[in-house]
Amino acid sequence: MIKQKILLIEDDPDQILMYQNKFELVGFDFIAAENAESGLSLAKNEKPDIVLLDLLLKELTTATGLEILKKLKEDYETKNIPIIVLTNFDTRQAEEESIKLGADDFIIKSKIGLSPLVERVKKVLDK
Amino acid sequence: MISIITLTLISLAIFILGILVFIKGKRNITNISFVFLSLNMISWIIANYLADAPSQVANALFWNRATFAAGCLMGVFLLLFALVFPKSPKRLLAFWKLAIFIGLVITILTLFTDLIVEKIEFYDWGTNIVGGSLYIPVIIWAVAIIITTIAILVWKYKKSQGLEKLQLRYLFLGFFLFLLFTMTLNLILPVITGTNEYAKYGSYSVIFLIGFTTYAITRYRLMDIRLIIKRSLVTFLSFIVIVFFVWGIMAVVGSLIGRKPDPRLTIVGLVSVVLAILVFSLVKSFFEHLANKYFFTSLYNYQTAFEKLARELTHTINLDQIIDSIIESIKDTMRLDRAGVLLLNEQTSNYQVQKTIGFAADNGISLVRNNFLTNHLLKTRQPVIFQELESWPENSDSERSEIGKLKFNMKHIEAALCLPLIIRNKLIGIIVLGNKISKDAYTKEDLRLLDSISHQASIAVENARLYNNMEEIVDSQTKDIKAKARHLEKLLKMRSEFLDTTSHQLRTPTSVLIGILEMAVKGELDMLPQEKKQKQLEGAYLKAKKLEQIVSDLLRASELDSASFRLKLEDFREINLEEFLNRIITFKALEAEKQGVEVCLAKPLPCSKIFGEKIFLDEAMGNLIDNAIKYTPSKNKKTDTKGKIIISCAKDDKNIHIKIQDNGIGIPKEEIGKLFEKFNRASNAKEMYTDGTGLGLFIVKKIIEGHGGKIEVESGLGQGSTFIASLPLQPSLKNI
Repeated sequence: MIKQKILLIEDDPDQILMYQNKFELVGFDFIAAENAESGLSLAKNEKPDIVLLDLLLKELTTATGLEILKKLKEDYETKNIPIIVLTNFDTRQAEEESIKLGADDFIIKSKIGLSPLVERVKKVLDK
Repeated sequence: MISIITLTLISLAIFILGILVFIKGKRNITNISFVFLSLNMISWIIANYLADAPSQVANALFWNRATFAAGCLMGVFLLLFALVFPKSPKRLLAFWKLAIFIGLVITILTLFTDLIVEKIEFYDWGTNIVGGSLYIPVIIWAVAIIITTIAILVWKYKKSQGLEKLQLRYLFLGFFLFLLFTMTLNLILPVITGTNEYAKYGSYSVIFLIGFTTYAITRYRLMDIRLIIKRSLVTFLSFIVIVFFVWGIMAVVGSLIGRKPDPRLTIVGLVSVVLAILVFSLVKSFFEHLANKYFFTSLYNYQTAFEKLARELTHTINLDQIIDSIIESIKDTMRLDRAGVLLLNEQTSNYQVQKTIGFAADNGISLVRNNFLTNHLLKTRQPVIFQELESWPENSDSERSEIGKLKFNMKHIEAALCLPLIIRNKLIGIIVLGNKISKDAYTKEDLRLLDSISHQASIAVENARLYNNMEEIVDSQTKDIKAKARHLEKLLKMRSEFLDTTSHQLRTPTSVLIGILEMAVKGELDMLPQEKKQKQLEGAYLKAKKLEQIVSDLLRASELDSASFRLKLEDFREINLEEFLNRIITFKALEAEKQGVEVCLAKPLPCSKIFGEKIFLDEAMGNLIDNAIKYTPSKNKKTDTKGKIIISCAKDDKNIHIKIQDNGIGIPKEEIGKLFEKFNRASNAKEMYTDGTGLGLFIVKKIIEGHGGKIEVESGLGQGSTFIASLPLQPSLKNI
């Protein structure tokens, strides 16, 4: 069976490590990008099955998480990849914006454990 | 002939008034009662006329009976009307029916039997009735009804208030005039003329009763009755006096030239006099108007001019309009060739031209404050008149020269008169007037008018100026309030940004801790290779420390921010400066290494020890070094230098200055002022580090200032930053 591939766009290496460990343990291919630029190129070249996107990236001057989301959804090569916004930025505005821009799910990191996150990812992938 | 016309006119008038009242309230019982009353009055007047008419001699008995019957019915209707006027009580219907029934019975008995009016007797002035067997009881009944009516009205009047009272007064006035005229025509005129010929016109005066009552019913706002009574009484008495006087002269002259007084001629004479009185004031004002128009040089209506100006001045608060009104009104009323107004300018202390008409434009009249003219105007409060300058006393040489100068100046601009505008002992302006077009002198009358005008004008000008000042104040306050509102808005925005950021910051380490602990609990960590597991645990540890850092920042900031926070001198200890700084540098070494920047302490130090509360100073210095590390990249792309932080110290007489210098991203110059505000972060801070609370520098400032020191910063975008914390070498109660 071919493993499904997850792309995580996230600026905090500690978190990347954690998500990588977890998702590899449960049988996913896992790649990560620490900034918008590499995130966008990885999404194009690696053709992941799903993207997990953090909204607050350090390099806010180049692109916010929402801008990455918009670009991914605008590009015909990436627009069909499901995207889950994974953030600790808990505002209704952020959630509404994300869904409006085409995110499939909006998850607050601290409110959900790793296993439930895996379930949510699988659910989106099964759709 | 005249009688018929009068009869028709009066009856028609009463009828129209009745209809008018009916239209105003078709369902109102007061109005309906009034209509009955007025119809009854009309029939009474007509019957009364026909009873004495020569053409109706054959029917005289019937008309006399009709007059009597209408009179009785009038009592009934008056009573009914008195009951329902001005407002109708309920449950009157039975009484109504009874009263009308009795009225009808008496009417029928009067008209068609000889029980009440048996027959009539003819006299040379007309007819009179002879009563039948029921005559006396009916008269008693009628008197009883009239007394009841009056009693009801008086009782109502006492109880009523406001509009109702006024309405009743009108009714009474109608009655009064009705009686007055009836008595004049029935008593006074017969005595004067010696015949009873005019008595029959007495009945026409019911028009007063009907007229005033109509007014009272139909109008909502009534004129004050006392005014009307006063005016009527004054007019009436004046008429009577003049008429008597003229009549007396006519009688005397008549007897002197031996002619018998002809009553018709007397009446015509008296009517002419009354007419003359009536039209006199009209004719007079017409000719006065004409005279004013063609003899303006000496005649104008002082009162009218003044009233008109006063009215205009109260209508506006606009200074320009006020000045226009003043100038135009004076110039037009007195027919002057020129006029102008100078007003005091508080800033320059000059009297400057506000507006002029007729003065040569290049004269440029302007006066400084406290000169000879203004002082004189303020002292005397009287106008200065050019022609009178000759006769001014010249007590000294300087006075002579001042008067000379004034004369020259006034002559130069062709001014004839200067009128002061004074408010509360301050000369706020001067009205400058030219000569009359007619070249006449200013009269006493003119000066009196000008004096009154100057008072009015001063008040109006002062009010307008106060109003303008007030508007300016209101404007500036509005601006102030708007600025404050903007500031508050900004604070609120900062607060909400803070909440968003803080919750994000607290959640990030929490989510990592939860995730890693969850893996540990499930035994998943043990499934990882040892190296990965170790790294993962290290990450969790760092996140826990970070979480602690954020929480203590928040707590510290709220502690320092509370009004009661104060450092205490007795908690201050001696601190070894080198140890203190080295410890912090060591403590931050891990982060510096991670970031790829070098931190070094410049030696030698200028002193060995400082004083303060160590926990706080640790925190302040820690925050400063922390910031320097966070916002300094390992390599500055612009200058191509390695990221480096230098800590150095300098000393003067009183203070030690600890300097933390980095070559990082810097702070935009315009944002430096706000840098130490709570929750404030420089706009470029997020490029390097997302998770800042915006509290670090706030805490630093509070701590340093709590020690009696101060914190300064030198920076610019991309130029690195230098923070200098100055602490007193000898802290004392005074400086903390």
